Order: sequence, then structure tokens, then C-alpha cells
Amino acid sequence: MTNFKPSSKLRILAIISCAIIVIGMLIGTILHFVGNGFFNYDGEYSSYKTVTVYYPVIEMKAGDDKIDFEAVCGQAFENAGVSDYLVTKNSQAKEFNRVLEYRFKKSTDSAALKKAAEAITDKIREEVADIYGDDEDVPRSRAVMHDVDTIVGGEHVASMAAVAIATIVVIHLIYAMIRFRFSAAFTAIVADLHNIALYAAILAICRIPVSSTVMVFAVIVTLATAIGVTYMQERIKRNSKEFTNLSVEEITDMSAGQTFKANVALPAFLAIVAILFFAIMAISAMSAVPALTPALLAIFGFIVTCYGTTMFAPAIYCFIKNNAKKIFTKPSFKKGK
Amino acid sequence: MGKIKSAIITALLVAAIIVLALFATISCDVPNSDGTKRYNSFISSISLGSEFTGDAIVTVYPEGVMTENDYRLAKKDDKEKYEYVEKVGLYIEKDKLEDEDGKDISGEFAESVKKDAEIISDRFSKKGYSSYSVSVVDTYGIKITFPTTFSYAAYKNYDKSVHDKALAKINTTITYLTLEGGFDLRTAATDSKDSIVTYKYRDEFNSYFQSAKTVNRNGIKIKLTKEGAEKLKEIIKSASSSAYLYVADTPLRLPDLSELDIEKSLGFTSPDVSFAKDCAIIVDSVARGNILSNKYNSNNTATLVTTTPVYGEYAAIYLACLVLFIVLLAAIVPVFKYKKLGIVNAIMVFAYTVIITTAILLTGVELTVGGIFTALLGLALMSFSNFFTFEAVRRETAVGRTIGAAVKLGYKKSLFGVLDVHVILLIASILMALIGAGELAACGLIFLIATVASFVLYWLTRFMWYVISSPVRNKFAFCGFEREVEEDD
Repeated sequence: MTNFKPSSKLRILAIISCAIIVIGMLIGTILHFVGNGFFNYDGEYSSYKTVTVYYPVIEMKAGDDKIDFEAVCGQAFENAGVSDYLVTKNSQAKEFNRVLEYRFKKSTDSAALKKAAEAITDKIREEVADIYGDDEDVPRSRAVMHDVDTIVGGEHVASMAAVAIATIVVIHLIYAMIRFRFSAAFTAIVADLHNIALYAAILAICRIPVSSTVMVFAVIVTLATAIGVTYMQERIKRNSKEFTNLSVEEITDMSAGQTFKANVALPAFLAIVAILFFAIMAISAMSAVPALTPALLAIFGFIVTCYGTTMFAPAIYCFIKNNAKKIFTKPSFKKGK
Repeated sequence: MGKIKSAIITALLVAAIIVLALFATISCDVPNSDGTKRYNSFISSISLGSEFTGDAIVTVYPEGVMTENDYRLAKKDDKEKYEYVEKVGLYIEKDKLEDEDGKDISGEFAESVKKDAEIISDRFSKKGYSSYSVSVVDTYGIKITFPTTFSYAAYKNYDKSVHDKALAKINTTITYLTLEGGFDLRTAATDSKDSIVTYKYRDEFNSYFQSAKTVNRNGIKIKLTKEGAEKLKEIIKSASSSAYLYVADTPLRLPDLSELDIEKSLGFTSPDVSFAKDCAIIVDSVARGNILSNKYNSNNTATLVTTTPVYGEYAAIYLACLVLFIVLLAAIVPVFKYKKLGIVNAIMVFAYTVIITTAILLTGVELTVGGIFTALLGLALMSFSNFFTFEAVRRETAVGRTIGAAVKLGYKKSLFGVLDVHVILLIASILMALIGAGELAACGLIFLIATVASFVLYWLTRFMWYVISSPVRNKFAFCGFEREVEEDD
């Protein structure tokens, strides 16, 4: 790591960071007005439309063909021209035993959904009647379209997470001020804010659905940044005492090099474990879709934390340290001159 | 330390871990119960998040609003008694949509439902679920989605009584948190109208209470206003035996005047933690003026829907296998590098696993994927703290120090680093637990326990290192370290 000199790369690092953050903010702001919001909000936050299908559990007699309700619904949606949906299989505690919920985007045409719901109702009643005859279960089997406006819920979790992250940043600042010096504390807050902004910008650019999992990852990114920056500053403090003849840049680069392995290993470890977790969940779900978002979050979290702690934080530390030095060495501040 | 002392301490610790591990992992039928009673292990009794056991969904409608299906099933008399109008796929009493002069008030009605949804959401947010959502469905209904929080035993129906209890808990929560507001004060625990004294004070009744909260997990503490305290004294005096505060159908017996310091607060104890929380939330919500504009149907059981977990039915089992694999990896791999010192570390890994499992069960926190991830972070924190120190000790031994001196110096040198990380994480976890909501708060609580456990076990590692290595002659070989031996000239 002898050639590792992040302190001299502040300009290029600042350009990269600013570009990503600005693009993210722009995309988010534009989509806030013309799209579905600054971020791509997940089911916990967003409004949607559903077609809910109720049907009884049919105990098949030998020789009967099994009714594939999902295929019936799929065909009806295809015929109505609405085939972009998410399906969940539910069961009702009483009255009915099975419920299929097809979730559509808010912008989906209501008339088409109603038409599909009617077609499904006719078809499943016909199928159920074949088995039960003129039983009570026939009229109860139905498909209903609902218009769902999520007005509250996830926002509370999101705002509380934002407050928690802000408090962690403030506590990190105070801790760095007590444990190290003003320049270290300033570095801490800039590095924390930089990583949070970068993470938020990437979320806005990639349109990753924002849910409570995102909040947990955001907190982990903040924490990993705080730990990484503190570790680097601890090493700078130790090296400054040991190598008094070296410049700020040399000390910082040396410390950044010494802590590089640990500062990459920590987020890498977190990301690998998270990806492993969600890979297992994808196997369990027999689908990669639900695990894709958390896996992407883990990868982005790793990139942002690594970049922020190993490259940006040392560069910004040098900048702050040197500029603070300049301010205090100005002639007007010197006594007797 | 002698061989015997060392063996006894080690055996005691290992035995405690094994016994706790058995209780934590093995479920079985209780002997001599003919299969009617079942012991559920710690792991299968932990409340799980919606990723593992799905969500509970219920749609409640205000009085006077019916779904198409309910309308079809409704009695003829009811249909004739009230005139229903079909709107947005629902059947709504005409009175709700038009006033006496025939003026359209459907907008106001829809607005009142929306406002009620906000109040209900606020109540659910206090319940501490990892995720939840409240939506207005078809303008006049409120759809509530929240995790079932089933334990694995309840979810898989291994234990029917546990399953039924969990379902009843869900229904109670829905019933209580969708209560419109006004409670009853009764002078007897009966439904007779004479005993209900609330009617006299109906208008100002909710102003008797200032706030409510749970205390000691299953206790409910209700703070009264000055006026409320006076009125309650009157009511208690007028009761022939005991007076009761009715929250939904549940009577909470008010204390007798002699045993009551009514100026301060009212205290009740509930046998069930979840019920105590529901009760405190609804009383607090009403005391703060959040009264619903409409009364919602109480027949939640009929409409309650439980969803299949998004990650599949066996997600919990898959993840448990992965966690077991990681724990074994964390226990076994260091043995290759640190020899018998690795075994000391392995004991701590198992101790950590058992401690965290027990703590999650005792705190009743809802375990999500994030929670398990956080618990593993704690394991990583403990393991890395140990390795960090072991390496510091190795460096000291490499320069020729004895094991005793190297351990002392190694721990001294690594203390600041270990303490730094633990302090930062401890503060962060406290903040997450206190400020965060939902899954974040649950993760914060687990991480708080994990950080404390990690730090305690870090020092226990040092103690056990000393205890186990005491009778060993070659302490360097014990740790897999090599000492630089100076050659005699």
C-alpha cells in the first residue's frame, strides 16, 4: 500500500462524489413531480390496485381434474391487457380458505381490472359449480377489484430511521471531538454525510424500491462509516506521535494504507453475509425477485462505505487539516505582529 | 490454578451452555401428557417477522358500509330497514351519503374514514411491529397489514394451543386498536345498563385520562387528569362492590378507595403482554384526543387473511441452517490457527449464540432477517475482538515475552481499539432502539444485547484462557504461538 495516496486525490474524488449526488438528486427531484416520488417506494409506502380472488379449497375426488385458479386469473388478466402484477397466496381464517391477491400499479386502468375481475368471477364460479353443484360456495367464489391508497405507515418508519441516522452522525461527531480533535470531528461529519448522500443518490438513480430493509442498510452504512473513520483517525493519532517528522499527507496516506484492509474487510464481510442471507432466501422462495433488492442494497452499501472510508475520508481529512493550519498561521492571528 | 479447579470451572461452563442449548433447540411432547402438552424450544417460541410467517391482513368498514358479499348474506330485514346505495363496489347506508335535506355528504364521510385511518396507523405504530401499513381501500374501508408475529411452533401448527392463542392475539389487537374511543365505566362486571355509569359523563369521559403506558411488560399505568381523578373517586364510592373500566369487552377492576392513590395514576396488571400493550395504546390514543369518527365492524375473524411469507414457507428453516453453518464456521476455523485457544474461542461462540437466543425470546422482540443479521454482527464483533487481541498477544510473544506478560500487554494494547468499537456500536444500538421504529428498533435492541454480550464474553475469553491454560505446561503450543528464542553465544 505504499503507492496508496488518497490525500492527493481530493479533487477527482470530490468530482466523482458530487456528480453522483447531483445526478441522484436531480433524478429524484424530477421523479418527485412527474413520477411516483423521489424514491421508488415499496409496497409499505405506495398506493396500488388489487384484484382479490376468493375461492374455497376444493377436495378433489379421484379422477377429477385439478382446477388451476392461478392459470384462470392469469388468462383473464392477459385478455384484459394487464399482466404486470405481483401475486400473493393467502388464506382466510374463516369463511373461505384461499385468497389470491394480485397487486397492480396505481396507474393501471381500473376498467380493465374490473373487466378481468368479472371474467375471473364468472370462470371460477363455473368451475366451482361443476364440483359443488348449486352450493353456497358458488356465489361466494369471487374476484373483487380494490383501489388501495396507502396514506400512512411506512413513512413513520422512514422518518424515525432518518432521525436515528442523524443522531448517530451527531454522536459520532461528538465522540470524534472528544477522542481526537476538531479536524477529525469535522472529517467524521463530512464523511458520514457524504456516504449517506451517496447512498441516497444511488437509490434514487437505480430506483431500488425503498422499504424498511433499505432503512436498516442505511443505518449499517452509517455505522460502518463511523467505525472505519474512527479506526483510521486512531491510526493517524498514533502515527502522528510516532513519526513527528512526516507531513500531514504522508501520515494520512500511511494510516489510510494501514487501515485499508480492515476498512475494506468490514463492509465486504457485511455485504457477503447479507448476500448469502438473501441468496438462501431466494432459494427458499424459488425466485430471485424478492432477494434481488436486498442483495443490490448490500453491494451498494459495500461500495459506498469502502469508497467513503478508504478514499474520501483521508482526502477530506488532509484538506481540513491543511486549511485549518493555514487559517491559524495567518499573520493577523499571530501575536505581536 | 490447579488442574482440578480448572477442570471444574470449564466443566461447569460447558455444561451450562449444553443444557441451555438443549432447551433452546429441542421441542418435544411433555412426558405423561399423552401428546396433549408440548414443550416448545426457545427457537420455535421466538416471534418471527413477516418474512418467515407472513402478514395478517384485515379490512374494516365503518358501520353502515358493507361489501357485496356481506350485503348478499345480510338479513332481508336489515336491507329493508336501512336503505343501501351501491357505490365503489360497496353497499352504503343512504344516511351516510346524504343528509336529511338530500345534500351529498359522501365527501365528508370519505374524509372521516381517511382521518380514522391516520389515527389507527398511529396506534399500530406504537405496537412496535417490524413493518405495518394502513391504507384506505375503496374510499370507505381501512385495510390494515401487519406481521402475524407467529412463533415457528404456532406458524406450522405444531402446537395447536399456541397457534390458537397467536390468532386470538391478532384478533384482540385488531379489535382494540380499531376501537372508536369511548370506554365504559361500570359499577359491576355485568352488561346490565344500570351498572354502566359512563352515559352520565359520556361527553367529558375521555378527558378523564391524560395518558397511558405499559409498565413491567404486562402492567398498564393510566395517568388521570385532576377532574378525572375526582370523578373516578365518585364512581368508585357509588359502586356497591368494585367499579370497572371496560376497554372493549375486557373489564379492568378499579382499585378500592382505601388502596388507591388515585391522584397519581391507575395501575392494572394483565396476564398477557400483548393485551397490556393494546390496552395501553388505545387508552393513550383516546386520552390524547384521537377518537375515531366512525365505529368499525368487530367481526374481524371472518375477514382476517394470513399471507404466505414472501420468501416461502420454509424460509425460517433455510436461514436457521445458514446461521448454524456460520456459527460452526466461527467456532471451528479459529481452532486451526490458534489450536486450543481456538477451542476457548469456540466455547465463547456457543455461549454467545445461546445468550442471544435466550435474550431474544425473553425480550419478546420480533425476529426478522435484519434481526438475525444484526445478531450475527454481534458474533462477528466478539470474534474479531478476540482475534484482534490474540494477534496482539502473538506479536508480544514473537519478541520473546512470556505468555503471561504477552497476554497482559496484548490486552492492554488492544483495549482501546476494542473499547472504541464497542462504545460506538453501543451508543448507535441504543439510539436505534430508542429512536428507530419497526424493524430498525428491533434490530437496535438485538444489537444492544449483542454488543453487551460481545464485550462481556471478550473478558470471559481472557478468564477462560487463563483457566484452561493454567495446567498446561507448554502455553505457547496451547495458543499456537511461537516464541523467539535467543541463542546463547
